[in-house]
Amino acid sequence: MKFIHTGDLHLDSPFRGLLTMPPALWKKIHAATFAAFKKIVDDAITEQVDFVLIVGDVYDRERQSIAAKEFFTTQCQRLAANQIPVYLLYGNHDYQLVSAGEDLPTNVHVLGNQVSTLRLELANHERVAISGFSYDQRWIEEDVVARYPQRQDDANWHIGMLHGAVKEQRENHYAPFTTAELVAKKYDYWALGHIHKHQLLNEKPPIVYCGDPQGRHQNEDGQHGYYLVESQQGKLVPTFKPAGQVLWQKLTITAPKVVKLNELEEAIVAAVAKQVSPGDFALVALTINGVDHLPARLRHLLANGDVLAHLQKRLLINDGWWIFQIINKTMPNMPTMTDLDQRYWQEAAANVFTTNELLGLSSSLTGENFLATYLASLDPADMKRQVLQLLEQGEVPDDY
Amino acid sequence: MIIKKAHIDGFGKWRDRDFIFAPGLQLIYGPNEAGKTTLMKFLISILFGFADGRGKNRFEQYIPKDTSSYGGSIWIEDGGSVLRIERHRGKNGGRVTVTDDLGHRGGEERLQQILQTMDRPLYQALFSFGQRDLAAVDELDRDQWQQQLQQIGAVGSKRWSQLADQLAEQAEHLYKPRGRKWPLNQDLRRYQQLTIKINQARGKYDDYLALRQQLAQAREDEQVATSRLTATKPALAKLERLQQLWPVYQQWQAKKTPRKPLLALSDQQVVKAQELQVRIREVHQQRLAAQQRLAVLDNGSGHLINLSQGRLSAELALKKQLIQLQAQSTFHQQQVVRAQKWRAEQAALREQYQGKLPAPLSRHARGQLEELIAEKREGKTGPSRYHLWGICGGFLLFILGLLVSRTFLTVVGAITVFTIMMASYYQWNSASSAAKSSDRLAAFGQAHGLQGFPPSQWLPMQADLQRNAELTDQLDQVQRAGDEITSQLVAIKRQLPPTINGDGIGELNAQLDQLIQTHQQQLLEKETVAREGSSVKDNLSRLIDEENKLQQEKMALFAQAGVHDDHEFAKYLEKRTSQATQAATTAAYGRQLSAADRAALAEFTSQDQLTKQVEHLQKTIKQLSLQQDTARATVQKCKLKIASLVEDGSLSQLEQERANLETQIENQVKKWLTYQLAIKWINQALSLASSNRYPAIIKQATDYFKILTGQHYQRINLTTAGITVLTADQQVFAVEELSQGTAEQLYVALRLGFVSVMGDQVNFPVIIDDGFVNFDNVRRQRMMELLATIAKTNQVLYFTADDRISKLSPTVLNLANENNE
Repeated sequence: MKFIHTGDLHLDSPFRGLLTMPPALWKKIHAATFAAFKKIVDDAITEQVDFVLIVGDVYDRERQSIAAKEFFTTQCQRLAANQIPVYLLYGNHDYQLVSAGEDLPTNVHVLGNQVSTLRLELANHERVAISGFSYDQRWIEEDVVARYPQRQDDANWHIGMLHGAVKEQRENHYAPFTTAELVAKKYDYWALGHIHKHQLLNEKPPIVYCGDPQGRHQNEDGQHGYYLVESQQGKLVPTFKPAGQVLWQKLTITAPKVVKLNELEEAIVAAVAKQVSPGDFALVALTINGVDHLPARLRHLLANGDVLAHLQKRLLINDGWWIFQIINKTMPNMPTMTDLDQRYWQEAAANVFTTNELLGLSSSLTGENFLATYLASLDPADMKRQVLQLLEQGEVPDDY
Repeated sequence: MIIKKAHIDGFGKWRDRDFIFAPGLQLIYGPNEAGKTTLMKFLISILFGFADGRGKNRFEQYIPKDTSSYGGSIWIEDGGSVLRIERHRGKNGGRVTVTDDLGHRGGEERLQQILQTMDRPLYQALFSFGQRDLAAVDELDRDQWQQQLQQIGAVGSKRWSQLADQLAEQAEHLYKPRGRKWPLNQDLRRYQQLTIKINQARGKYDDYLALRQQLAQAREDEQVATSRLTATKPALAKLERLQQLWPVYQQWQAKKTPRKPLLALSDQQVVKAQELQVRIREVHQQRLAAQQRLAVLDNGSGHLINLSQGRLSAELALKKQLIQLQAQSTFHQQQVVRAQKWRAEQAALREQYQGKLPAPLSRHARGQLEELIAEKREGKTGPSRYHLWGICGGFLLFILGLLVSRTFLTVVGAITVFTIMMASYYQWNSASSAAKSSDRLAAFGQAHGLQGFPPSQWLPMQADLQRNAELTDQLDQVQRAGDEITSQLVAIKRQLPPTINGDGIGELNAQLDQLIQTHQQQLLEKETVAREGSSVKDNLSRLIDEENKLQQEKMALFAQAGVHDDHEFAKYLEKRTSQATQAATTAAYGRQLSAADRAALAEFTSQDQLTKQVEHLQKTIKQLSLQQDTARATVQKCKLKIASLVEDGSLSQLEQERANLETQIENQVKKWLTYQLAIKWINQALSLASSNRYPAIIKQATDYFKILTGQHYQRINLTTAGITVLTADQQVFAVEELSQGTAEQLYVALRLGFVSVMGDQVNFPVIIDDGFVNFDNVRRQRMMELLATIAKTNQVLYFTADDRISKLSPTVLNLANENNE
């Protein structure tokens, strides 16, 4: 038996954390989620898999992308043309009430909103049971896994499909579960979705997050793809296969000992070119250490974004990579004039650089959801560094 | 720190001057323009550097106008030792030398050790105030009082406050919670607009879903229509077949034998008739062709009609004549040439005989002449013995003829005898008549024109005369021949056609040749035409015969079929064919009319019923086809629309644009927050510093305020609402309610309170520049008392232009006196 485990396709969803970009780059990025899934379908056909599992979040319900829905339908039709059935459930992003008349090709079998088990018989007469459910709302906070059946004895293979997150202390909105709970079902394989970083929660049996085939944010860096799962001596063995078209990469370099802007830029280009993984197109978030050794002017140009803007202008996407962010993590010293009242400054910092203060200050900005989320994600320590960089930038007037 | 002494090498108006300062309260008096401010600036400049020459600072430089020596020294007591600080013209605020009491010299760094964190602005903010600050007190609002207080409370707070203000300004240039034009505000608005656009674009999703549904519906419709069509079409086909079978069925039902076919002619006969028609057409065509040919031949040979063989023969005869004539002509030409000679000869003869020449004598005359001549000589004449011999011979022949009975011989003999006898008689007679010979001779000459010539010559000249006669004869002959030729030619020409009109014989000959040739050809042609004409005629008559024969044959067949001409026959054939087809069809139906057909047909009572049902089915099929087409068109349309919706990447683009805008907004928010946090941090640090010192400062300030107001005010209260003061009679006044003087006193109390509290941490001379002008004498007195108290811990340098104040202190440095020196 051989099947593909994928999910979190998030077709046609934008890439986050980018500012402006050349149109060619936009095209590449926009095509990436589509191309990644197409590659999976290509592979499914080439590998002649028995079926394909898609564990939710095919697209964002809110986004209502025509291109995404049409594309997904077309790709499923390709699988249909190759007699490859698809087992699909909906996740928190594409939650919906599953009805009998799904607007999808007939080879696509959608798991209902209640936990149910679908069965199929393979060409070699092995019987496969697939248990799972689709989200009918954004949040599912109960322990749905409890309602999954125990391993079916009449099936040669029993696979669990689940879109959810491991139970945590609080905020369990996504069908929370524990690994032990899953293991206890005695299934041969757990195909998980929701977490975008592909990983194995457990080896025997494999409990696997397939991750999204294409990272869409700098936090989704590294290789993305899907799992090709094959039976080997009565076990199901997952193998990760890359499918991502655009690679997010976090790179760190040390500031070169230069005094001129173009020297700095050339040094950065050379250092990045050495580090980016070849063969993939990379979106690079570049951290530069040791910035304090640079002349004040270059520090200033780095801080105000001029260096990045200039680098972006000179970098062609043909180079196979694109720097979208330059991060300077060097913590500057306290300005000297605070020496006299050092203890008051430190005391004040302890009061000011807190999440509460941050939220209080930005209360007028929480109108947009994304901004509320962003504000909540800000790190006070990082903000302190920002403030110090600001104070250090010498915006204190020389005379008054 | 105490400033003990100052030596000015050159600073503003001061040059090479020493000043000694008391360690406690030092009053420095001078009227306006005495150099108070210059001295004060000198002290500060030595400590913190000369002002640089930029901007408004250039007026703070005090570079002396008339000496190159700029700067000077001060002696300070700090930490128990005395140090000399010397500063002269130089970069970055001047060249500094610090010399301690042991003679160790140091530079800027040594000075920094002494000053520690104190710098010029901080010093001026903390330890120096003047009338200007006091005058401004009146205009301070509550917040500014708060700030003033804070400044008093925290080290460097004024600078920090300024920075905070600056940051606040920058932050406001980025975003204001209720602003509109600031970048972040604008981006947020753009975000909302983008969101609206995106939502609008998403509206298409509903269209898309509707289209998908429509597509699915149309596909279903199409399938339904198709399947119904698939079912209905055979039913219709079956019914239509029944409909076709109906007549057969009817016939079959009515036991009617099919109508007798119109078979007057057998198939072979029809074929024969058709062949005949074809043949007749062909023959007719041939006949027409022959007639045409004949007409052409008749017309074409018209010009040949007069030409006959006889004419050609005549022409050929003429040609022969002409050739002869030509030969004669040629000979005649030669004769003409000879004639020349002959004429010459004749002329010669004529000359010989003096013109006239008589004609020559004939043989007879000559004989006569000879006889005459001879007679004249002999004089006798007898019958000739020859005659006798002739008579004898003839007689013999006569006898012989009689003897042998030969008539012929007898006749000849008789004739000879007779003849000879006659001749002899004549001879005899003449001789007898010419008795006289001379007479006779002269007569003879007369007779023959010889009278001019002697008779003796008559005979000899006969040869010439003969010749002359011959010549004349020959010339005549030539003349005649010429005339003959000419007349012949005329005769020939007359016979020739007028076209031949050449002059010479040769020319005529050639023309005649040509004519003959032409006529020979034409004759040949005429013969050919005649031959062809007769052949065509033969053929034509044969064709007419044949056509008639064929026509008769055809008409015989037509009569059999009851038709009279080709047209009717064609109609007959048509009818016959359709009948044959019908017969064949009927036969086929008959064969097709199976038991099942009969059963099916039996279900219908009439043909009408069957027709109606067929029509109904046809209508149904038409409707279904229409449905199918419509559904197919809809499918196509939906597909196209969906494709265009899919192709329309605007939503994705908007989404990405918005994602990018989110990033930008986040970056700006972070920046804005950085400003805000910086401001907050600064304010809070300052606030902490001041609030920590407030109690001590307020306590001290309250004491000073009591002193300054003569115990009228008892307390300074610091609340969140601001500063209030409490009078001895328990009345509370907000700081704004105080009189200018009282407000100034409060300000001074607070400033000095701070100096006193900070004294243990930083101790610098307090410099007061001409303050307290609004104070009355009593209060001024109290002020001096207070300064004296302060002076116990901090040196106080009090610059004033008020001579009354100078009288309040024993140690007065009178700059007016200094100037006078």
